[in-house]
Amino acid sequence: MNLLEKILNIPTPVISLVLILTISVPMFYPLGLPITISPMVKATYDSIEQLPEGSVVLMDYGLTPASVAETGCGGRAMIHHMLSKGLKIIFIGGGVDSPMFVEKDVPPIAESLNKEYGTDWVHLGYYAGAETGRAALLADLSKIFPKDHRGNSLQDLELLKDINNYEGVSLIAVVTTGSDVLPMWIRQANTPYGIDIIGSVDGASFSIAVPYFPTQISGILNALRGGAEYEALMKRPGEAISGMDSISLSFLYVILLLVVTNVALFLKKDGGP
Amino acid sequence: MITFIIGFFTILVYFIGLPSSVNQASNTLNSWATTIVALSIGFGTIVLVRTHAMRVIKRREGEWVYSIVIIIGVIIFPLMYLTIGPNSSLYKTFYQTVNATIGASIYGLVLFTLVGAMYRTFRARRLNGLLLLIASCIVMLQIAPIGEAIWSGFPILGQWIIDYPMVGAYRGIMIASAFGALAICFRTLLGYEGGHVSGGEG
Repeated sequence: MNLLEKILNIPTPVISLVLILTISVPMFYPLGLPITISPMVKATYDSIEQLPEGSVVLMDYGLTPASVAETGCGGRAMIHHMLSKGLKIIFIGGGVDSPMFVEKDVPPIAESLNKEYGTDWVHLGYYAGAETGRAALLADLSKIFPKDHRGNSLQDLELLKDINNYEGVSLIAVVTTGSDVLPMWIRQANTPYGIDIIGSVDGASFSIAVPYFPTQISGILNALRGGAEYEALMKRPGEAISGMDSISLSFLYVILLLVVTNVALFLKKDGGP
Repeated sequence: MITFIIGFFTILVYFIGLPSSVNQASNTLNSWATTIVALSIGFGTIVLVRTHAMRVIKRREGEWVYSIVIIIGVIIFPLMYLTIGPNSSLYKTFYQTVNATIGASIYGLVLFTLVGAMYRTFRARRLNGLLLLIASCIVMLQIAPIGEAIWSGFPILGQWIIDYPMVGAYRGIMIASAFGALAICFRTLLGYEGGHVSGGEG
């Protein structure tokens, strides 16, 4: 087997082993490459920044165990930004895993900022029905959530005393990996009621979300990169920024792999050296 | 007839400003829909348990052991939810150490499959394949900070690919598929598409 054929037939375990190295080595030896802020992330930040203190945000926290690495950092950075600015957040979840992630991620952030459950943030839990469910909860929260996730009546929660539908909501923030989730919110919240929407989405959903920016969607965080940019904007380096070095090296490795194999294929077609 | 009445009623309420009592009726219909979906999840669970129970009973080779794992999972989580509640530390620990860990691991494994598949299949044999390859490499270098460290033009070029060719193509696809969905919607409302009530027969 000559060199060209060896390049075109690298065993999968070798490819995987080098990939593991490119991901893990930067965790111990960070490169510390600078991160520039894209217009979509800046727009997301500005959408939160321009809201007056006390404004209410409805957050669809649709994390799943599989997606948490991609979109979780962006979601947590947005929550920290909102609560530190004095905004109130109503958490809901269109995925069955959502309530677990709200209860895992939000209390530590809220406690670090001295924000109280019921006054500064509430968690209403899971809702079924996808697009119809979203239409229904925007029309009447209490019909979909008779109680919050912790079993309290909605009337007992200070934050929800004057809010029972879309009218008190200033912004909708969506954390999701479902490519159809943002379009559903656009159809049910932005188009009929004119509520601004921002989102932290995974790489695959990003392509679906971008065509709606900036008219129907005010800002988008593109997976881990978006989360890293947001952390950089807030000057609070976290998991996303530390993960970007692994992204850099692994992407570079994939590109090198593609370039080398394609050059080898081209040379082989021509007879080779 | 039921589809026609409810469908047209919902469309009218969405597009035309109607008295609040009519809007209220539409909202009630929407909340019914969420109840129906929630019920369907329950039915789905029953069907799942029944299917896997049959596999276990028949000892279907290579499958029944996995079916036991599914049945245990389907029974344990609702049981814990109903007895100790979703906010108990035991339930949270069980979820984070079992479900969340397995989900994240499977997603991590996908990366290795993807890179292996890219290496074997992403080979430019024609000009359009080469263009796709170049565009994807530029977008990767736009996302990874190392791209900018190599050449400051990568982020600009990558953003241009996203802003113009990608958004333009996606908007075209979305508008075309919206027209298609509209046509299917009207066919369903007028009774020409009966798949939702007759199990696939139009």
